[in-house]
Amino acid sequence: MSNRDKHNKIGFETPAGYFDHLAERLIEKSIESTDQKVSAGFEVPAGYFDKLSDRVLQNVQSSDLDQDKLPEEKDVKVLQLNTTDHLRYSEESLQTEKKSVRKLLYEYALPFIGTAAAIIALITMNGGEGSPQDASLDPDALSTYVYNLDDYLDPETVDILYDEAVVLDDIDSSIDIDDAALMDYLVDEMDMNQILSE
Amino acid sequence: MSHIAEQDILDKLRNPDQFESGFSLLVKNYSEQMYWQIRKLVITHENADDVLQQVFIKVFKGFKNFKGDSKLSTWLYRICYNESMTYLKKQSKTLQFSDGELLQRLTENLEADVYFTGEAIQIELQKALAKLPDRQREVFNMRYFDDLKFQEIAEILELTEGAVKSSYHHAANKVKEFITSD
Repeated sequence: MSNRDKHNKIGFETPAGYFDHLAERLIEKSIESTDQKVSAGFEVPAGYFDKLSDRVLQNVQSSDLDQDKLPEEKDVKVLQLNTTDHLRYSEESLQTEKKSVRKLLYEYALPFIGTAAAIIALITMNGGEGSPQDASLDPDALSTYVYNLDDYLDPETVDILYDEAVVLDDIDSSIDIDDAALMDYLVDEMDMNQILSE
Repeated sequence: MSHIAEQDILDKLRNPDQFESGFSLLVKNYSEQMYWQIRKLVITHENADDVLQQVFIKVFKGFKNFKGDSKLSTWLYRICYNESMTYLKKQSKTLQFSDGELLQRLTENLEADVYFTGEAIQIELQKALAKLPDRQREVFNMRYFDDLKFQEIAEILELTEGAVKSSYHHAANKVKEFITSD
C-alpha cells in the first residue's frame, strides 16, 4: 500500500498533483538560499577561508622545497644501497630509467643462484664427485629440478641471500654494470658457496 | 570570476618572474569554489581540506602542462574532480571498503558531523547522491548545486553534451526515486 493510499483511507486528501512534484520541491526547499545552494548544508570551521590562501601557499612552498632536496628525477639512476638497510627500500623506490642493481640481481643472479644451489645440493646429496650414485644424474631430471627451484627463490630470498653482500655497497651508482663484471662476481660467489658447503 | 581576471592570472603564471604572484592570485580567487566542489564529493571537511591542498600542489607543479585549450577554471575543476575520486578510492582501499560503501558511511555520519548543518532533507539528498555512480554524482552536483551549463560540464568531464544530459537525467530520476521511496 502506498503512502497516498494510506492517507486517503483515513480521510486526508492532498492537492491535485501534489505527489508528482514532491521530490523536486523538497530538494528545492533544501537549497533555497544561495549560500546553502553552494554549500549543500556543509559547513567549514570558523575563519577557514580567511587562512586558506596562506595555508595553501605555505604547503605548496614546503612541498616545492622538499622536491628541491631530491636530485633531478631524470638523473636518478640507482638508489644507493647500504649495508644495513638497503633491503628495506621498496621496489618502487628502486625504479630507475636504467637498470638498477636490484633489477640486475633479479635478472641474472636468480638463475645463477638457482643453478648453484641445485648443483651444490645434488653434489652434497650424492656424496660428492666420484660417488657411485653419479650414474643416476639424469640431465633432464637435473634441469627440471633447477627449473622448479627457481620458483622457490622469490625476491625476498634473494634479499636474504644478499643481506651480507657488502660488495654491493661499493658499486658506483653512476656506472652501468656490464654483464661480464656481474658474471665474474657471481662465479666468485659460486666458488665461495662451494667452498663453504665442502 | 571575470574572463579578464582569469587572463590576468594566466599572464602572470606564464611569466616565470611573476609565477608566484600569479599562483597566489589563483589561490585567492579559486580556492573557495574549488573547496565546495571537492567537499560535495568527499563529504567531510577534513577530507576536503586534504584534497584541496593536494590539488593546489598539483596545480603549482603541473601548470606547465596547462596548454590553454580550455578555461583555467575548467582545468581546475577537472583536477579537483580527479583528485577527489583518487582520494576516495585510496580511502576505500585503506579502510577495505568496496566502491560506494565509503561514501554511504560518510553520509550516514552526517548527522553527527559538526560541520554539517543541513536539514534532514539535505542529509537524505546526500544519501541519495552517495548511491549514484561517480560520474552521475558529479554531473548532478555541477548542474544542481553549481548551476553549470551542460556544455561546461561536458568540457570539464571531457564528455559529450549528450552524455552529460543523459547522466543528469538518470541521476535526477534516481534521486527522486530514493527520496520518495522513504
